[in-house]
Amino acid sequence: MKAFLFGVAAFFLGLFIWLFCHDYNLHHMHYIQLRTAAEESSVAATLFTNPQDEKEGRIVFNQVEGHKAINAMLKSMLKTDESLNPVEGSYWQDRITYAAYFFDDLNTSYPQTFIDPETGYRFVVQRPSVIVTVNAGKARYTIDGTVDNTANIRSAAHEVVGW
Amino acid sequence: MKNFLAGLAIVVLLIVFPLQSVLEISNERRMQRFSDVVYIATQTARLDGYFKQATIDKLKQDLESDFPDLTDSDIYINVTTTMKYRTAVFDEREAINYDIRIPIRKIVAVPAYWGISDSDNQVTAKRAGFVLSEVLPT
Repeated sequence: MKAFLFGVAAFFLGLFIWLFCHDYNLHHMHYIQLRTAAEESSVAATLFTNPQDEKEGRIVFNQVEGHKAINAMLKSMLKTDESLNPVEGSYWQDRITYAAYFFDDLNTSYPQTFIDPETGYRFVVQRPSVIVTVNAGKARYTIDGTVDNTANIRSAAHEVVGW
Repeated sequence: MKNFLAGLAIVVLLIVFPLQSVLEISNERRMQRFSDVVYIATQTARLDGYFKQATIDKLKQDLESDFPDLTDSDIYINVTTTMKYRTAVFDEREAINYDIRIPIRKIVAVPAYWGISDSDNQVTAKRAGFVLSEVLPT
């Protein structure tokens, strides 16, 4: 009987450890993809500038179009609907939120230090840049409490270089 | 003897967990490498305005080189092959789309243990999305 109970306990311990490793690996993979999503979003937003200002030698971002591009990118990469709520097949479970910070020749005197209020990400703005911070909410862990499951937030900056 | 047999049964029962964990770590690395290869191809396409045949060939070559178990027919590639341009306003029609898939042939370490056949013991890794072209219209 003792051996049987020991066996059952060992089985559940093994199951618990495996479940944790499984969830952790999955989380790690999607956390890296979240970074890529933030990077791609910032790249997409920098592509929309005001043509009239460009003619006058300034880079001024078209923030309306930039936000449209960020939304479309997050919707595609993180598998969400129009309101950035995850749909079937998405790893994430909470509504995705993001903050975009546009630094251009109109609203910035370079260099300017930016510190992200959510992540503490520090970035010295030297030239026109867009910083996107994406908050994807909590990761999926089968057994709650195995890790400190805080929100998954990633920031990325993209600069317009060589202008 | 009884204890030895009980111990042996427990070992057989528990060996699945470390084997499964190792396989999942290995598959995660595979997915990550797959993502990296696709990322390089999409960034090239962004600069070119579309997926040139050379980019597609390089993508296939990189995938086959990194994953020796793959053959040409295993790799699914559906990408934009017509020129797209950078626009003043966001237009999804000018996006360079990509949908690239490769099989992952082993997701359960000891399939016989759970009664899973080899044909069921696989999944398709997929990277799909879009990038915006950096090519200005002439």
